[in-house]
Amino acid sequence: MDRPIIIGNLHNLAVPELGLQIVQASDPTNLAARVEARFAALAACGVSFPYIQGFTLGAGGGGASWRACFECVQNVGWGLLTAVSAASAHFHCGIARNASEVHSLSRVLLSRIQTACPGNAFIWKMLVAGSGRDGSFMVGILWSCGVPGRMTRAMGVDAASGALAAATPICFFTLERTLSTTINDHVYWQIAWSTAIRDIGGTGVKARLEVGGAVIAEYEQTNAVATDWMSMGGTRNVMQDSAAATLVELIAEPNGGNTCEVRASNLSAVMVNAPGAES
Amino acid sequence: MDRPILLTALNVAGQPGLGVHVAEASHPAGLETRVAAILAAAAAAAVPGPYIQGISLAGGGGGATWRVSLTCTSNLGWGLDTAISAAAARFVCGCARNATEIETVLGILYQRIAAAAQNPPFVWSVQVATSGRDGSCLVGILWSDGIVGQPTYEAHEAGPVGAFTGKHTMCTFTIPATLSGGPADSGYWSLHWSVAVSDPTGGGVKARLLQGAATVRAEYEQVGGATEWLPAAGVYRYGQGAGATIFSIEVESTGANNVDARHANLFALQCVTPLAES
Repeated sequence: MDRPIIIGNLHNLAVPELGLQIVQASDPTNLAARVEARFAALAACGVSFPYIQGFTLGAGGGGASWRACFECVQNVGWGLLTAVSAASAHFHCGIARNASEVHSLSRVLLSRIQTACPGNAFIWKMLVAGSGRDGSFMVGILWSCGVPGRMTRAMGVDAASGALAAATPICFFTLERTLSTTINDHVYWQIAWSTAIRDIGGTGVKARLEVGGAVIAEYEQTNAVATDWMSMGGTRNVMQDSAAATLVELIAEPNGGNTCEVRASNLSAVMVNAPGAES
Repeated sequence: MDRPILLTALNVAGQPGLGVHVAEASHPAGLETRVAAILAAAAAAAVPGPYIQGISLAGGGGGATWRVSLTCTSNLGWGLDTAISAAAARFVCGCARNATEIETVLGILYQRIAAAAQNPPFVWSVQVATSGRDGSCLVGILWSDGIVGQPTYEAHEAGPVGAFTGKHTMCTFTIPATLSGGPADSGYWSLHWSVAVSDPTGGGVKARLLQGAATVRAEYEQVGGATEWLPAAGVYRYGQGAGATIFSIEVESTGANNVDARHANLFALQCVTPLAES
């Protein structure tokens, strides 16, 4: 079932491109062209980021019209990756004369999509509608060229690293930028990090989280007991950047002249909410 | 709407078991048999972790055929629990002569599922198709014989507990094995753990996250004063494996020392689907 959508994102009288949209045509070429036109109009409708939230396919055959219904919204429903950004949404369809042709037709359509968007195409929904008139079928595919990003990033280093004499990235990864470069399709990641750190010289050590070169959290401790493995870590929500990919790093650093060791270091990012769906 | 599926997981050359498949039959028993054959072919596809990602039901009545469309993929889409491992997927259906019989048919189908299941059965999609010919309805259920696991696991111990010497397990839980017994349908869990330890005699204390009986995923060791409650905490990402795995927080005193521990928390949050991660 679709995730809940706050009604204000669906029902906007001043923007006719939002809400339920029905497109009809008796042949797949025209149906696809009309759907693409609707997507383009939706992408340009001027609201803060438009999405395709739902899709159904029905009827047709024997000269009658095939129908595609789309639910178009501003922002998206709660949930992760439940709707397609209108700017990246596309629709392909084709007719199979009977059920046994459906599978081969779907392969043809998928190959066309692969050619149109090599290596980065995502299928959001494939539907098959049967005609009650002549036994033919329509296969329709809603797809996007690219998605906002994967749901997690993670890096772990179990082994001890050191002795370190200067600031050293222990774990790191990159969060890609938003798909559309607009602020309204941002998602948030919950970044969690932890490490055990040992202060060899007893004059102090630091461990910190850096996001895009900025220090988000930093702990500093001085402990003269050389056998101590101190616990440092935390969590932080970070909004996806629309301008550029973001480097996330767990860094260990001894105070001047000191050395340190780290072990059992973990850094992870989990996508935690949809665009505009956070307090 | 279904979660996005990377196209290359759907369109796999040389794997006809994947992609969109349509089964047709004019009666439920024939339809079940044909759908079962599609599910079996998908399960036998030589790809990592074949899944059923979508189902729709249509047509039929008055001697015409009922149709089931299935989307079969290699791995699955982004998202959690949005597709069924093909090896565990099952389909049952039945005809109702009219709309008022639907609930009765549904009840019979649920009973059949309960009788057939070898593992805890989960219902993924219940669909009703209505015939334009004679007003009859087909009720179809896509279900799975078992599931990979719960979305979260949690254990805690408020305490304080102690004083103890040696090792002490504060809290523990078990993440089950993958459904297929293989790594291809592994999900990932984000584990968080934390505990406060007190070291009254200053002889030293350790706190660690254990995977299984002996694998130390993180360990902190510190010497503190009698009134200090030292923190030990961290995160760890676990890729589900072929066997059930126990996680626990263990506290250990060093030497002849006594220690106390309190506020131990351990939880795992399923955070990604198989192979949908870097």
